[in-house]
Amino acid sequence: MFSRIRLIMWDTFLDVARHKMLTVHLVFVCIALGLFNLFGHFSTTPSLEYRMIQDVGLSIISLFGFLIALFIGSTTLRDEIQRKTIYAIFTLPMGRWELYTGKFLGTLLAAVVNMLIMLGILTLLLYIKFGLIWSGFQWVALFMILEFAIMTGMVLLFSLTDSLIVCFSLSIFCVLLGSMAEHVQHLAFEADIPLLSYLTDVVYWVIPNFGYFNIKYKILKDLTISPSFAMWAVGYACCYLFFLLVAGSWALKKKDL
Amino acid sequence: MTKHRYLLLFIFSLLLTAVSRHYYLQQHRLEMKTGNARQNLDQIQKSSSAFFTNKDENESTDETSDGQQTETTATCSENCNLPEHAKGHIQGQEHQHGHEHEPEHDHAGQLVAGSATNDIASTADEKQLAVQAGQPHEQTGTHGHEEFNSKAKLLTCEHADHDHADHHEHHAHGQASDPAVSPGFVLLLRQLGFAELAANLLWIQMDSDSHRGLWHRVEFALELIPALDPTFVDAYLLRSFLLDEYQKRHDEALQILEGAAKQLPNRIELWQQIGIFCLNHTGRHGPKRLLPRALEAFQVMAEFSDAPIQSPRLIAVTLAAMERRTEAVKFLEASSGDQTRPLEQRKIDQTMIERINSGEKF
Repeated sequence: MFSRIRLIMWDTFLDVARHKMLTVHLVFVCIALGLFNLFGHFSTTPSLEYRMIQDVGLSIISLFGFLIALFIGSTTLRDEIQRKTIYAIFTLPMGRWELYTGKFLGTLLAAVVNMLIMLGILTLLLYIKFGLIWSGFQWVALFMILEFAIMTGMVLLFSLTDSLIVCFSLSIFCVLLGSMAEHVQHLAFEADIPLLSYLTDVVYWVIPNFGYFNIKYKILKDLTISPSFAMWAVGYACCYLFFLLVAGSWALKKKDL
Repeated sequence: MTKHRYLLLFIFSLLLTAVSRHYYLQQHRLEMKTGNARQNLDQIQKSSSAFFTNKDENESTDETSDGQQTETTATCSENCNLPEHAKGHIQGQEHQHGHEHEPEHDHAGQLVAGSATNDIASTADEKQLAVQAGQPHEQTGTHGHEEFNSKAKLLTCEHADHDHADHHEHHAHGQASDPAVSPGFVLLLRQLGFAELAANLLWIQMDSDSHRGLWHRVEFALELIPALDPTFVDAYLLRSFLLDEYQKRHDEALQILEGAAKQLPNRIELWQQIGIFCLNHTGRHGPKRLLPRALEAFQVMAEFSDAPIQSPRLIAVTLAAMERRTEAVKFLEASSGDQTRPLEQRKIDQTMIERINSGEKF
């Protein structure tokens, strides 16, 4: 079972790595991160400038990371279906859920590698400019991996819909809603419409709250993250990924192929 | 059972997600020391009513004029001894840590001018007349606190001209552009992860609002900025200044600074300002003085590696105010004997020793 999943994962990763789109993305990221001096004028001290660049740099990585997850996740399984290569895979002795899990892990691996490259570039630029090694790097990387894992899982699930536009729209909508889940719930509560309040409650519990993975504030202030908190975050992300994989596998099973 | 395997797994995973989310949420709040969004938004909502209040144009103009009255072209005394100009110097430090804002709009500068008004002559009226007459206003000095950073200027420091009059003139003719950063946009930016950028943009908006006399919006922005970026020291300083200077809510102003210092104990300017507030040299906060707290704050400030050059004098003045004059003199003697200090500073130390010995009340 694991060898089959690993095989699919590796194949997906190599397929993504061959894609030129990612190279273009990385060029954009390099340009965006390289525009250091644009942020410099916001600050008057080197420490403030350092934090400012970290803040904007991480936000850029989050944005591009999401775009990468969106583009890879929405095409990887869809291409197999459109090119009809998926039928060849179905002839192999493996379950659809194994194919789905393998695809998810391959996509995630590609997104994580990209994210690590972007973080590496940011860290290198910070080191070149300020001569400092970023101490909270590992925590940022961990929480970003969790965030991208959930995003990738969601995008892959939505890629099973018939239209690419629907997939894109749902993914972007869910990520935006996930980033503002608590505020939306609060606003619905304040509106005092019971049905709306009930609906937002349901959405609140179903859609992941990406705000919980945002530890930038702590990291930027050079505070530490406790390992127990990190474990809870990993636990929550794993549970949500399990839910997404079950939903995706079920949807793939139900799909008329 | 096998037929509904996926359905059962789906329900199970959904429940598992909800439970894990519940516990993770608790852990998250504990770790990040944050309240829930409802509390935060309630706080913002409470303040936002002020933001959306329409004010009468005339009223705004009046407020603007009041604001202008505090802006002075201040000239320090030749010796610029502390504590008369301590407030000015204190704010001079702020320049080194400030967030992004237009130099000529530097509100920290407003603090300097406002604080120094008690001791120094003002030429604001003359300047205002010049502006009203449509004459180009000749600045008496550059705005800003570079002067304070220069040792030579510490001796003969001309406090810079804030030059608000010119700016209000620009606004009156619609020449200045309005940043138009709404709180909603700022909150959206924050949610997208650009908290510091949001705080800076709101600061720029606040600056623009202050020049248009929309003080209710300024107050709102100054409450919101630290919520977006708790390390935005300028917002604490300016808010405490406004409370202290215009609303005469001295205790509240001090509380804001104390709260900020708890959160950001490594920011020197907060300790400096707390010291000045508690020292209350000119009595502008009424008869109340918190000299032990002032001494404590100045001592914390002096422990920083980049402590301001006037720190020993601030400590000495506080000691003298506490009638511990021998201790103050001893302290200043040690300071003036320090060969690493610039010669002019040591001279000022000597002058201060003479003043303390003469029995002058501080």
